[in-house]
Parts: sequence; structure tokens; C-alpha cells
Amino acid sequence: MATYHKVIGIDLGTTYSVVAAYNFEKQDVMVIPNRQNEHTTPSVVYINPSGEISVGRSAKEKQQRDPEGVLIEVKRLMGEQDEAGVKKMVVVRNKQYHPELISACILKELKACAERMIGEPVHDAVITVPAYFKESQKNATREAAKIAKLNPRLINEPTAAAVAYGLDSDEVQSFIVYDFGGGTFDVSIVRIENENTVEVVGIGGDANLGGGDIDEMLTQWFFGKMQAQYGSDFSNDKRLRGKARLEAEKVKINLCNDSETKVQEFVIANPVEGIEEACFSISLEEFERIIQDTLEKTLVQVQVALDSAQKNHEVTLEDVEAIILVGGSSKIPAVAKQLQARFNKPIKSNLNPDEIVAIGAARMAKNYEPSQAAVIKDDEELKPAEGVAAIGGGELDSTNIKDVVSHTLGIGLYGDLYDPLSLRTKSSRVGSVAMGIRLPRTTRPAFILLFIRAKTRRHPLISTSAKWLSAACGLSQRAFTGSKSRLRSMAMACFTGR
Amino acid sequence: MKHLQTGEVKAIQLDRGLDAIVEKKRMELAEILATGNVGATGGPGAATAPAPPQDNVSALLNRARQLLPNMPQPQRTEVENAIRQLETARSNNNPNEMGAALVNLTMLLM
Repeated sequence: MATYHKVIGIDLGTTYSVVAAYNFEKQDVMVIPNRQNEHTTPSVVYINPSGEISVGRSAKEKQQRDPEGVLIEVKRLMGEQDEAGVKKMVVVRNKQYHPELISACILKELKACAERMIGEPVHDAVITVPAYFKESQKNATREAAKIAKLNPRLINEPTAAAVAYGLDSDEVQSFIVYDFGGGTFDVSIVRIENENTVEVVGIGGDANLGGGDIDEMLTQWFFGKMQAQYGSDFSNDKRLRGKARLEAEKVKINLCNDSETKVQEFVIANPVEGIEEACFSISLEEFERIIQDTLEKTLVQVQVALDSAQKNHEVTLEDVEAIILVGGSSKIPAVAKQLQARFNKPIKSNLNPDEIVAIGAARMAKNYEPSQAAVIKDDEELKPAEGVAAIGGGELDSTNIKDVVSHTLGIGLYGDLYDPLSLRTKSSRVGSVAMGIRLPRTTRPAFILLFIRAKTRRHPLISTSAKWLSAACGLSQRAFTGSKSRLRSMAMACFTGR
Repeated sequence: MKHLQTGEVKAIQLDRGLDAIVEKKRMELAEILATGNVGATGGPGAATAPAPPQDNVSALLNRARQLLPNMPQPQRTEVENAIRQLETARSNNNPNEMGAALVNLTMLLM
């Protein structure tokens, strides 16, 4: 038997990504290092003028020399449209690329790291996505995985974080998952039931709040110091701004990781012509004072998630056992202090917040059999690798994942009519909801697209199954005969609206 | 959008999945990625901005008109009537009438 399980777990983050796999010898999940022997890989892609791609640290370093070819935070564009309803594309040197392709570059790099460690080809991955992702965003993530020749299984990031901490309790437990990453802030209330069911019962957060904002605040602080010392505003100098952002991230990480050193130097050599070195000291106290407003925003969102959990699932703060910290920015000492002070709950941070989501994904991945090959074509079927039996034996084998519906789903009719089926933040298998509905024949939809939380791993998430369509509409299955592509193309409109 | 259960009319963001990558495009992008090179100016990985989505009603009417010549006579008459019904509903700007007309035409085309 190979040392590693060949189905890997990937935390495909906005700013950093992590890959992990289950190690049979150590009987635990191991985070797989990248080419630089680091556990986290920047989710950054660089395309040089000849079209050659590089990913990770080498791409990130190009920000100083050739920022035009550097692509950051592509996750924000996945499955998104602009106000005119046109798909958002990535633009590099006046050329457009599908965000799925850029995301696939990152996945391909992580896959390559895993294959190097495992010593065999990898065809399958459990990939995490934020709990608030719409179907179009999840679908784009699936497409990116397929382009990178990986068979994807998606799970929500907070669910993965809860799984990483284990499910061995016999009692119902609820946790607050506080995920303060590089590009986004998400908070989820996760309930783990005694029958090994993980359920996300409430969500909150801010898609435009992350470690990058903290870096920017620190950069502004630096320019303020520069102006005070040299009497000029250098904040419009793009080259210096790029250098300052990189230094700001470094200073932030050092302040948060090094418990001994309470003061860090913010140093930039030759910031502008005539100045040999700019060096300013910043203490942890001053740093935390600068970012206090941001931290306060995150605490407000924790309350939003708790309110939604209470409203929809009667889960209250009293039910919460602990707060799980996820994401690099959650390592800021003030985060744990203020969370504990505000909500009076113990903080779980014994697993590295940078790696916890990938660890949870890899634990989930252990329950999947590796496939023989990646499936890129629509009509291909996943086939287990030769000689591979179900893994079994793990304590997660019967894990049943239920997630909230992040957006209201419903049946859309032509003529701008809309019939909601399932409300946002209600935890349910949407397909089941649809199955139970018999629409009056006068309002029967012309087209329907049902979102099915499929139990079977081969089942597509978006189904045009005649059985489901007919059940939802109260019509004969004969009304929905036709090829899958015809049904899909004619079908229409399960609207997702916030 | 008009909420059928409450009658409330409000703006919501629609997502019909029209921008999803199709199998052919996926295969093409997978090949590009395998080479590690997305191409220089105008390369195969690059794309032009997609055209704005076509109005759904117009799309359905166009499709119906395209199919008309190959339809048997009884069905053709039904479809022609449904087209007229839909055009009238659209010109009257009545969402309920239009919804019914769209359902009718769509079912005839299935």
C-alpha cells in the first residue's frame, strides 16, 4: 500500500492555498510542502510576455518587477458576472483569460507537489469552498479542477475546519468557525451531531475583508511615517507601494508569530532616490490599535452568524462549545483575546489556522476511493483505480455533511416570475425540498433547474433529471424527455438571489 | 422579479449559468494548461469578451421561428398561435400574460 492516500485535500484560498493528504504510516493527515518546502503556496499566477505560467512564490515575487503579468485573488472572479451580466474575466496585458484557467494553474501546481510527495499520479481532490459560494462559483471551481485534471469533490471550508478537529464526541456540539483569511472573512456556526453529522447552521462574514486590508493599513502607516520624516507624500509611487505591501505582510506575520518579539522593524532599502533606507519600529500594541476597527467588524459578523443560527436552527451562543480559529489573520493575538472577551468561549487554535482547512479536506478525502483517471468529458464515468477497495475503517466513514443554502433558491419562470423553494441559511437538501413541491398547473414552470445535493459521488450537482423535473412540476416525465444537453440548454432558471 | 407566493416585486440577481464552461472549452483549456503556456498575444488561452446575453423572450421566439419550417402542419399552427400570443403579451408588457405565453410556447417546442 502506498504511504499516502491518493485522494488529496486542497484548501484553495483567495491568497494562499494548501494541499494535504492522509499518511497511512503516521495514521494522520500531513500537509504537503511545495517546491520551496513551505506549507502554504501563494494563490498567485504569473504569465510572462511569452505566455509561460508560473505559480506561487515565484509568481508573487514578480509583483515588484512585472506587476502587469501577476494575477492575484482570482477566486473573487470565479463564477461571477459584472453588472451587465457578462462573465468576469481575468485580464493580463490586454488579453482575457477564463478565471477557471487561472485557478486551474494553482490546482495543477498543488497536484504536482502532491504527486511528488506521494510518488504516484493523483486524480482526485476534495476542494474546499466558502460557505457563501453560489452554485455558479462552485461550478467554476469544479471546472477549474477538471481543467487541472482532478476529479473534484467540494466541501465548505468551515465544515472542513470542524472535521479537522475530529468528530469523536457522543454529544451534539456547536462551534463558531472564525475564518479570517488573506482575502475574505467568513464566520460559520457549525453543529456536529452525535451521529456524525456536520451541519453549518449559520453564516456571516465580509467577502472584502481580509489580511490584505490589514497589510494595506500597515502600508498606510508606513507612508504616514515617511511623510512625517521626509516631508513628502510618497504614497503614489507604485514601485514603493509594491515594496511596502510586501514588507507590511512580513512585519504582520512576524508580529503575530513571534511571541518573544513585541516590536518589529519596518525596513525598506532605497525607498526613493536619495534615501538609503527607511526604517520605522512598530510595536504589537500599536499594530493592534491600527487594525482595531477591522477587528470590530469581524466581531459584528460573528454576532450576525449567531443571530442567523438562532433564528433558523435555534442554536444559541450558550450551545457553542468553542471558537475555532482559521486563516492566517486569525493568528493576530488580539483576535483570540477579543473573541474570548466578547463571547466568553474557549478558543481552539492548537492546529495551525493556515492549514486546518486543508487538513479537514484531506480527512474527508480519506473516505473516497482514488479514481483510475481524471474525468474531463461530461459523459465519462469515474472508475476506481485498479486494485483499490473502499478505504473504510476511518471514524469519518459515515460522516453526513449538511450545509446551509447560501442563497435563496427557487424556480424562475419566464416573464420575471420567481417561486422560491428554499430560503437562504436554511439547512436542507434542496432536491428534497423541490421534490415535495407540486406547483399549480397554471404556474407550471417552462424550465427548471434543480440543485441537488447528490449523495452519490458521480451525480452532477446540477441536474436536469426528468424524474426530478417532473416531480417538481407535477407533470409527466414525458414532458421532459430529451438529451441531457437539450434539457440543460432549455432549462432554465433556478435563480439565486441574495 | 415577482415573488409568486407573496406577490412582492423586488430586484434580485439572476444566475442562469449561461457563462459556465462547456465540455469543448474545458478540453481546450485543459490542453493549454498541460503545455504550461497560455500563449502570447491572441493565444488560445485568451478569449474575447463574451457578447451580452440575449433577451430570453427574443431567444425563444427566434428558436421557435427557426423550427417552424420543419414542423408538421398541426403543430406549426399551434406554434404560430403561441408566437403571436407571446408577441402580444410582450407588447402589452404584462408579466403574467407573458409567463403563460412563454410556458405554452416552450412546452410546444419541447
